[in-house]
Amino acid sequence: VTPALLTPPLLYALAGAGLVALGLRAVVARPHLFWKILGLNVLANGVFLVLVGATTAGGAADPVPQAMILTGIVVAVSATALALGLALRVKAQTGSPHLPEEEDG
Amino acid sequence: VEAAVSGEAVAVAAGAAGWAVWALDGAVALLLVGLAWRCLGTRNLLEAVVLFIALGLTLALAWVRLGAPDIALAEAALGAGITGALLLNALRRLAVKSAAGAAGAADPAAPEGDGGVGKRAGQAWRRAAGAVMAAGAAVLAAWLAWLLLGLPARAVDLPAEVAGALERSGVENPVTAVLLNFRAYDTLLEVAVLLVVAAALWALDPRETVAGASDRAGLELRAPSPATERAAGDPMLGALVRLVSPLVVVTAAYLAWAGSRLPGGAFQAGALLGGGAVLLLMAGRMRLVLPPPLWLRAGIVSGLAVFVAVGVATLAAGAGFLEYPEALAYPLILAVEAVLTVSIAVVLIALFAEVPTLGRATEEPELATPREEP
Repeated sequence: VTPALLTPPLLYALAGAGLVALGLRAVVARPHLFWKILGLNVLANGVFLVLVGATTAGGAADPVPQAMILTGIVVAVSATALALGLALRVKAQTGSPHLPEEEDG
Repeated sequence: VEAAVSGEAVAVAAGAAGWAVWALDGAVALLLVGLAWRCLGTRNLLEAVVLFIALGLTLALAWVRLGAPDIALAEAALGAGITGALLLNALRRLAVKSAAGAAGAADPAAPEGDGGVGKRAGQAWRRAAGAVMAAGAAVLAAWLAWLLLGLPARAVDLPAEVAGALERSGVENPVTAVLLNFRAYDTLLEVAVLLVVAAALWALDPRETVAGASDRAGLELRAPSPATERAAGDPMLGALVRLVSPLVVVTAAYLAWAGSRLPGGAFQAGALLGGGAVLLLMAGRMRLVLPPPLWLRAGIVSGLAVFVAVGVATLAAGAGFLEYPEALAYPLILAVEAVLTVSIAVVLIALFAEVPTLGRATEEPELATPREEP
């Protein structure tokens, strides 16, 4: 494969696809709630990379997906704060940072 | 296909230097995947959080390479900085052994007879399920990559549309024009999300733990003293806060102001201001104990309130909701940005609010690194 086929934006979009898969696996497979939250964040970042990487042609990034991602980053941080609060509450109530059905994991 | 062809032309024109740049982009892209792999694969939670922060900073580099400095600023300040601080803060609280936690820990002595054989069968099943999930993720990644490689040229030229309407938007930075004029709805709802999260986090703290608490509620600022330096546990932190705090305020003001022409804006500035405040919290110079004071609640609501007020005013003037008249677009956007900057910073402080503790003893975190059960 030459750089001609794999332009830098496409390269980052492909890395984004990798992050999406890694993040999704962690959300589904890791029993610890903190890793699920980390996985969600990696997943979100993967989506952002795909969005910009796939819409960038000839140097300048498209301002519309850029604005969407700026919104997305703020929402992701808010969601992470809330999710961490909920996870700590689960730990405080059950004594374990796992969901009840995954207690033995 | 068209994108690939134009990319080919660019690459050929760039020549040998193109290869070096391509190698740099390839290395950053590989580093992103590698960091995510280690972050989500390790069994040490502290290591995972540190790797996640490194991933955020590498992402900021990737955004610069993609020609998106607005996102790079937000990613470094919010994605890596604030999320990292939130994670480390939560990690500290997770390590604190609560009375409820100690009681609950003895519980998972569930099915007593289900020891040896049953447990081993369960482990085998678990391993098989894990392999299936990993294979599924690999298939997903390959499918996404295949889709990306065959993506058609875009049907609508959004950059051209934005460039065409930029003159009427009141600002010169196209990203700010999209955020605060063309798609101001998105930003309005995003501010509403911030407000809801702050309220929900405060609601999560159970009333019963507050009864008989020893801490004074409210936001408290502490003057630098040997006691606060000791509380921070690190004399360097105090010196850093002293040096960095004024710089943070000036830089945030500049970012908010420059956002209309250059990369930057309310969110980056608010995140920076909030980050500076979080540094004060971590250094023991500032302390926010629930329930929050009235002015802090007002600060959190102010961003959304002013935004909605501007929208209602444009409605009253006969235009659509948040459809600014051309002559007033710049001052309106500047006003909304100024209020949003402060409001976002206050919300970020609110995310680090502490539950009043019943006694000092519960504040000592265990030093052992929390690990996931295998």
